[in-house]
Amino acid sequence: MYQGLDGRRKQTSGTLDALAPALSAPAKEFAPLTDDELFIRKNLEADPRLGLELLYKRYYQPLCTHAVKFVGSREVAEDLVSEIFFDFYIQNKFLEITTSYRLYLFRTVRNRAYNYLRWDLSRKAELTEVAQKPILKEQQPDQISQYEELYHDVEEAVNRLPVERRRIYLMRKFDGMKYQEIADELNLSVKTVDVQLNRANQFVRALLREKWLLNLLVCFVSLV
Amino acid sequence: MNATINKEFIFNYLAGKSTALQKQLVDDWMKQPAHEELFYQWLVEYEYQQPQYLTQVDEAIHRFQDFAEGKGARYPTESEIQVLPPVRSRKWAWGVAASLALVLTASGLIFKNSIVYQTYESAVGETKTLILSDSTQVVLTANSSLKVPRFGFGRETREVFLTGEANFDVSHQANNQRFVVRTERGVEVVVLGTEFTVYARPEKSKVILNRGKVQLRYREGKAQKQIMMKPGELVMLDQDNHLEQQVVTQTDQNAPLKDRRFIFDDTTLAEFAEMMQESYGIRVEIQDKSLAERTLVGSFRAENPEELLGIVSRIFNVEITKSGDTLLLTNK
Repeated sequence: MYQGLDGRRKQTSGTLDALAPALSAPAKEFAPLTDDELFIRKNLEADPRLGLELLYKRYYQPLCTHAVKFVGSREVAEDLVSEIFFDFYIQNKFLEITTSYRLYLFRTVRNRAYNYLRWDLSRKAELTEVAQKPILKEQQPDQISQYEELYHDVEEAVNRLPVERRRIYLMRKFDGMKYQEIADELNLSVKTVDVQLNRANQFVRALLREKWLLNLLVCFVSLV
Repeated sequence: MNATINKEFIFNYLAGKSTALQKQLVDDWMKQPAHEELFYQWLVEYEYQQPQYLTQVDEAIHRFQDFAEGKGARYPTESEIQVLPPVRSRKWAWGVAASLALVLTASGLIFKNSIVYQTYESAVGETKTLILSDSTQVVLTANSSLKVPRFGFGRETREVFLTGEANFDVSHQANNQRFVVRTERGVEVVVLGTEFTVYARPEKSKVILNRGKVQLRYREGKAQKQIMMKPGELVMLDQDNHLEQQVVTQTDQNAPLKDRRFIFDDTTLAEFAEMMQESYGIRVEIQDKSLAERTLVGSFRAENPEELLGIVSRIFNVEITKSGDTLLLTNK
């Protein structure tokens, strides 16, 4: 079973059909879908720590790779995902969940990533734009498609960066490299890296804020 | 309308190739729980197929284990909180605990054990059978001791402390209350209804499970670890709590506690082969020398030699091929 999963993880460019056998019931479109977690569920009941390990093996990779599309940084994505697993464990969430674990984990990660990003945008905003206070309560968009829209916007904003600046931005945010490391690799001064990163950040934020901060303001109004 | 939504449609949607109208379709489609499940299933597939980067899942699990061990004391699950005594008796229990604490402090902790625990000991060469208040049966083998709390045993928890070796036949409680055997080196056996043997001597610990299910918790270095055991399994931990083997065993020849049990104590596979020959007239051949030198430790209940061979082959991951009246063991 795990070999199957591992094999699937390494596979980066396989076809859908090649992937299908690795998931136990993907092909039938509307079949009941929770059975493929039976083994994990049994383990969670008997030994939560072991069960959690199995969940990690199965969903950590796709959760991180999904979250990173929102937050743009590996580190942040992995922290978000780990936190969800930790909560899942200490609060015994697995006892309450009536959907699949997959649904719960992904819904949660999307929600937290969404909230993180909006918090991040508001944090960096000018004082006049938005009140400097943390979001008090987790918000959920009304439509599921807003999640997709948000991270597609993030991607597009990054894509619109000039090539060199984008490269630096990704090295920093995505690979978690230090300024000095980037400077060494690209033969630039640390100061140049710093300037490029600032501009890249400003650009990405400006694009995202334009559309998403309005939502945020609406949230604040509704909270007051 | 829904018929238009299939995996390809969702993949396009995830890739940002959908029009506003198509997104609207997805939103409506997702309102049904079954569709939502399906969506996340496809999402996982999509993310596996087109990862942004590859994560280090082992490191993440490691961080989780550290977390679980440290600050992450879990809220007990329902099956772990069994008996909640009425408030009044609980206050009383606190009173006892408090006055006990005083007494203990006063006596410099010297008498702690004899006050808090009833200790049962067996002398060298002596075997003792005990029935605990929860009707769990314990057979203490020679030179062993078992400490049972005088207060609260069976009320909130069932925990005993073992030095030496004992066989437990744990009574099942209506509330599924756990039975925990602790040993000196932080090896803990959590019983989920069962018969098993624990061996806790200074040089090593062994746990042999005869029936039921137990969870074994132990510390290795700083890490708290645990494994689940199945019937017939044996786990041995050395002085540093390295998990040595997970083995199963043979023959009632020198059966100690109960019959129909096979006992191996650092028995090499070659010796095992000899034993099979002697006891059952089954010729077992092992051609690979390093395989023949691998050892078995433990005790195992098996109805017949075939069952035993099957288990041994699983433990060592060897293949058994039959040629005439000889069984050949080879590495898989």
